[in-house]
Amino acid sequence: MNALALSAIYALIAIGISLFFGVIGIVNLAHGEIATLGVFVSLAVFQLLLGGGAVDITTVSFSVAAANLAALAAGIAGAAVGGLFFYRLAFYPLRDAPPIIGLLCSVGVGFIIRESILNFYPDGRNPQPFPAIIPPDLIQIGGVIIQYKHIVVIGVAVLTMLLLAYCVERTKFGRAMRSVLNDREVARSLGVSVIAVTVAVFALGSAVAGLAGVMNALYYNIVQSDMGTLLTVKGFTAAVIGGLGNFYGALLGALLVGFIEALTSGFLPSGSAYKDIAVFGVLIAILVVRPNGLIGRPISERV
Amino acid sequence: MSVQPVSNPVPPLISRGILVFLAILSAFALFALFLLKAEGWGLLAAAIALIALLALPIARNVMSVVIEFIRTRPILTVISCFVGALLFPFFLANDGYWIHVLSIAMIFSIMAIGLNVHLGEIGLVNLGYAGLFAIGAYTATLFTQAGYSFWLATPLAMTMCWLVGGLLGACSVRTTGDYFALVTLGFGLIVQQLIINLTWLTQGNNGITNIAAVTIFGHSSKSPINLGFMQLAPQVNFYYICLAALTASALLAARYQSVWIGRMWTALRQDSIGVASFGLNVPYFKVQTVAFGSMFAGLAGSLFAHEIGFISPDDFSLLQSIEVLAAVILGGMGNIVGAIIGGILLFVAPEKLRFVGDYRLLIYGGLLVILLIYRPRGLFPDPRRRYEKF
Repeated sequence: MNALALSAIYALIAIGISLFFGVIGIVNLAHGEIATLGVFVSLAVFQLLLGGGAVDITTVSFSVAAANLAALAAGIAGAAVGGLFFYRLAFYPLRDAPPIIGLLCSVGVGFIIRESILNFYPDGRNPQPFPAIIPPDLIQIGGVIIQYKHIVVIGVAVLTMLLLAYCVERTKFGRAMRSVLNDREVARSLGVSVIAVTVAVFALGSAVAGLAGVMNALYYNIVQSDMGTLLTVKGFTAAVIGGLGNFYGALLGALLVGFIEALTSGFLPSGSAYKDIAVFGVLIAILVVRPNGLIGRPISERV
Repeated sequence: MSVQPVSNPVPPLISRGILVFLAILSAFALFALFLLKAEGWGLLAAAIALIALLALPIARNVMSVVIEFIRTRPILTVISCFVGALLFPFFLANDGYWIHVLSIAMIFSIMAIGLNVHLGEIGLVNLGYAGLFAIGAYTATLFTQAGYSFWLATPLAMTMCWLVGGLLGACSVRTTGDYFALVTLGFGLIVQQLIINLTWLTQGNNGITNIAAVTIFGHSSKSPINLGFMQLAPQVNFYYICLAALTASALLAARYQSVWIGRMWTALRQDSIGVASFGLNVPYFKVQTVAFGSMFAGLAGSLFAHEIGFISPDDFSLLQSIEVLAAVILGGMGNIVGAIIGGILLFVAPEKLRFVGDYRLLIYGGLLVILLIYRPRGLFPDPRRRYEKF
């Protein structure tokens, strides 16, 4: 269950990274930081609304539920707005530059977000407790003991993914997005506004990243300013394993990453120390054997 | 100074040569003065004014005139830079702290030269250069801890990095562009995790302390140099070792750049299929090149470990890789002089920015973004790339 919940979080991050790469053509190493930004916006709203724990947030009442929802929504919106802001600031001016420059620029953006939180959020240098709004009870289904938070995290992730899949496959926006992903020039010549799609994808991906960040915070109940780096790296691994630019590949990759982590820490002696090594080892192996990911389409080079 | 009457008693070329020599020496002296004296917000104001001045188009023209002027006498320029660097401890008035900082900065520059082979020459983004640096540092340290001399451990560390670099290069054969960046990202993180977890070999997070001093002809690097008329600070020993290593690295890389290998690098970066169709064994050449670039990390790692005397996994994080990458970009991809200056600037700047305290990394990130947007080719663009779009 842990593996599934982790996979769900990684999948949400990986989708954004994958879409950014496919549609916009940037490698965004600041994606996890945007998620962190969302988490801290959400945390700020929590603290603002609940006045430092004056209200018992686990009780069931309308006002508390509204506050919780508002905080979560604020986290998602904060990530989306932050993502758009940094897109305009850093990535838009570099849209014609080679990908290397964009990648480095995203590293700079990551620095800015991480250090801003560290320095400007009250007591941002230390890990912050995140309100545990999901009751920590255990329930038993068919002999398997699971926690509510597993159900919530997995449920929200699955719902989001279904929504996204619908959006990508069935809506007009999804069709425009896929056309840009396939061939930017042809899409432009057929009247698709590439820049509008780009901005929309950036907002959408950042919002999903914010959601992933908030889920991560709900899952661990503790947040800190440098949690984004690990999210980025894991999300990237998942996206790459599945094949960058591929929506369903990201899901598969995230599942693989989650399970590799769980298996290494579960079955090897002192394995939890080596779980990151295992994940990155698999990443390198898959990249070398199948450079386009497990279900990526082969890219033929134009001469 | 450029328009001299024909009846000038001094032949113009000699006077120009002396002028270049003196100008470079005084630039070094000014830099030393800057290091010793510039402090606090006044420094920041001066730096911003300088950057603003350099951004003006007229400054760019003046710069290009100066560069052309220097370019007419390249060997003299290199020699006078070397003399300036040799005399630099004296300019610094024997100040041990700044001599130490500059030694580390030169180690950083050696790494930038090595990474430049990957990034600038064949266009491979390496986000795990700190991993190679760590391998170099730990290999050298483990050998000196086992009782071998520094002078044997360093070549061994370089060989080790060369081999590991070859493996990375083998990965680059099938994975290009952004994918290679991700492979190296994973590589750097794996190396750091391994160092943390293989405690029997590396002592984990505690790091290795008390790395032995280096002896040069029976003279320990921890004891001051006695020149008869003055005592030089003990840090000067390593300053000269690092200077020698940096000079050797720069000359080697420049040599590779100027012979057929350099032309192949450029051709490979621009069109690998085209080069292959002209009969170059591209996979073999790529492996060789990546291994060659990684070798410098071994040299830098060994020097770093013995200069600091203490290494721990924190010294080899992703941040370190990014900083080296930033040094290469700042200097201008493909330009060795740029890599050296970029490395020194990026290492000295945080020391000078200590007064901003906690905001150091924030400013760092902001500057990186601004630099990439306004000068994506770096401060000293590679002249060979004049006709490329980027």
